[in-house]
Amino acid sequence: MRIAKILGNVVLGRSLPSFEGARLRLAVPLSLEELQSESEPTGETLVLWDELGAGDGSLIALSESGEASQPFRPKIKPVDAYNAAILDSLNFVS
Amino acid sequence: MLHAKVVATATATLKHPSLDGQRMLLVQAYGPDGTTPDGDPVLAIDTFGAGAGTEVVITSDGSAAREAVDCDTTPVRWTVVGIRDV
Amino acid sequence: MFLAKVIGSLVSTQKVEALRGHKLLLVEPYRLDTKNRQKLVSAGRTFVAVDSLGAGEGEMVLITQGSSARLTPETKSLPIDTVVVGIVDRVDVEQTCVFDHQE
Repeated sequence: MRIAKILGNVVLGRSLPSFEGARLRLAVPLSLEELQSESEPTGETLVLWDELGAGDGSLIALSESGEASQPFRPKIKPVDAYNAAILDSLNFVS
Repeated sequence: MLHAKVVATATATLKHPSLDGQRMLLVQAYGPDGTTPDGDPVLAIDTFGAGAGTEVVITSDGSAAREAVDCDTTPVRWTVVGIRDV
Repeated sequence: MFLAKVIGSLVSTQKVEALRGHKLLLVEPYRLDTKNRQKLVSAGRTFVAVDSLGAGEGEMVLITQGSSARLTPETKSLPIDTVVVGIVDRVDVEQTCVFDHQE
């Protein structure tokens, strides 16, 4: 899991049945330098499935690829990015 | 598997149930020069109690992660499988 | 998942048997502008995606990539890694609308 910052919201019109009612958030993964300096993130823009209710600006644990669909088992859902945790704190080594 | 350094510890209240009681570390892999970060840092589950600054070996094996947290539906991928001797 | 604009369809007569009858779209990923986060811009790449929703040229779609692309009843046995999972209605960034299907 990488760490990503929540930036916004995505609403679908038509979708596959397995995506109906999905709460989808726009996010960007952060590098170590971006995490430590709190500079503006420049990584790729991605959309993740959120069941935890992360707000704009939250740092979350981003589960990607195959692992992102595991929480839905035994249902099959084509999810490749999932919010696994909303981080309260990151305590850096000085 | 990657060789990475523990750069931070992370805490979360709202999380997937499989993360309850688990220790989460932010670890960074480095290039051959040992100082240039190789990609973004990742959160890994640690069962060794690895401390800040420790060098660890992490694996992306999903089945190892499912075993480490004892949950078949965990979204976790990275786990610490060893600590480098000093 | 990522946002992408449909830039066309791709017709292939000679293809593996499993893909027969499946519609292939050419899509262009979009990302937030790094300078100001108030607009979506092209990420400068293209992908071929399987579509069962009937997405039209110019529409913004949501794409799932990798092994997860096979986690639908229609795609579970296909040799694919990119699938359209939805047609995007609206995208907001920090309370500001950056994409609206109506416009």
